[in-house]
Amino acid sequence: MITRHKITVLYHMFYEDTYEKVCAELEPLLLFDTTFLFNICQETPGKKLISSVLRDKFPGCIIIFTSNKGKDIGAKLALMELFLQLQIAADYILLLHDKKSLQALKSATWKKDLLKIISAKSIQKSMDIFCESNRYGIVATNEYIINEPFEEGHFSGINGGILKKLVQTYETTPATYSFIAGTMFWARAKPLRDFFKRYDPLEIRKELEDGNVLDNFSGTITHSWERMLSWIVTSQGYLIKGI
Amino acid sequence: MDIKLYFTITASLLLKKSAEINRFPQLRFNILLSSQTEITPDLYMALASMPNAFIITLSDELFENDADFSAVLTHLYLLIATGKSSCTANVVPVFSHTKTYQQNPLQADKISTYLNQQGIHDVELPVFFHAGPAAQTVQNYSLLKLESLSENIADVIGNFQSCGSSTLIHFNEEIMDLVLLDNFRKQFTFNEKSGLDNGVKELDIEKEELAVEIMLWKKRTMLYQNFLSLSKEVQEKEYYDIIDWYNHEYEILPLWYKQLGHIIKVIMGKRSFRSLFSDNVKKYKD
Repeated sequence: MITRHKITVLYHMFYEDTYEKVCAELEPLLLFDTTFLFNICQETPGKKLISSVLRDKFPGCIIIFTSNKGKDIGAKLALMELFLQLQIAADYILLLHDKKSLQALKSATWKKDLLKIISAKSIQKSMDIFCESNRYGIVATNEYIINEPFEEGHFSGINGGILKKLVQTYETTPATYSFIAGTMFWARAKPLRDFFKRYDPLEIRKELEDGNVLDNFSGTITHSWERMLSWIVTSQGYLIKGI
Repeated sequence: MDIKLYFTITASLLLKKSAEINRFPQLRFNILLSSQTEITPDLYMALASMPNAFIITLSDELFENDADFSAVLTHLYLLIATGKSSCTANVVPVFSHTKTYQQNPLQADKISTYLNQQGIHDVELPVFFHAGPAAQTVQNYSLLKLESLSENIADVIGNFQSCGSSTLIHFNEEIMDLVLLDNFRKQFTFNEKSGLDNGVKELDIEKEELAVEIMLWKKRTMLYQNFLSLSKEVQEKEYYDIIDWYNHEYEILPLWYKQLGHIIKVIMGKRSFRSLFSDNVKKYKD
């Protein structure tokens, strides 16, 4: 086991047929000092089977079951609260979920690309990036580092109105408005821990939309928090590094 | 009527017994929390690792903890979330030491509202009295207080005639042996009237879980149907976004510039030379 780095995985599972794939995807992380926290959607059939497979594969993992609120963002906020309550001493947090985006044309490649960050090679690379420079707070798949449109002091994208309120309320003013689309990335634990000790993740989760909300046609609080999860880190002076 | 038994156990006893609790998956527990200091990372770990169904009961002190009630709510939700894989009831009983205790409606409202906002709906908050009668029923829930495991099982069953569908068993003497508790459960599940044994009762519980699973699969089918109809709408938008991008990024360029671009592609080996003069030859390499 590579014990130098303490990693905590926050993994949300929504689909009933992804658990075997998830186990395979996460296998490289077993070589590290990793704590696995899973959330299985309350509405997912076969939760007992899924949780027993996860417990067999990842002994000591903790599983919670929450309603479909704020999609993977709501689940990750619940897992973040669990992370804080368990007082886990992690150096790095890995945010993941069993993304399918069935409605999208390019759904198959999305997940594959986003999961590049947990290949055995990429895990080591990510650790090296964090170790080499304290400036980097997030490591993610290069192609999914997106710039939120910001023109003349205003967010001009579909989520603009909500984002304006959120950055004011939560005092997140990063140097650039880059974020990780798909919310699967490595982050230093400290900035996330510091932020969520100040702002209760479950209080944030309360505000998120129920069900499988999409932002293809109008802005949503959930998709705004997708951006905020990156900005929490970058507003504390850290940079995003693409791999 | 099938009655689900929840055996009351304190958080500290649960932690002591966490190593052996896996041997008794049929035991349902009512975890009694008396103070916030009992809610530790170890308690989360113990609850998350046990296969048993459980509910959380708050003491009146914890229920009335105005000073830090938001922390109580957070813990309550997360603790419930660790056990929601099985079909446990949406109930948070309150145990009061005072016979005349009146539940503070504001606190009850805070719990219901908070859990509702987190996605746990229609939560019931029945109040039971420690100093009250041996059998109490509030809404669909009952509390049965017993001195010890040695009480006559026939009398105990007699007390259940008017009980709610979920019954909390509270032993006045602390039960340290889970084997005895499990034996008590097995005795209770023997139905004297019908002669059915506990195996049949356990099948009833499985039947209930199966009904929940069927309901979830039906919902999931609806969800996939929604995805199918939604995907047409979304993919149409994505298609027009791409066309829009093409028009803005490429189509807008002057013709001579585009033609020059094609010659550059040939020079770079990205398009065949012959395709510049004929539509019948292959343009690009596979």
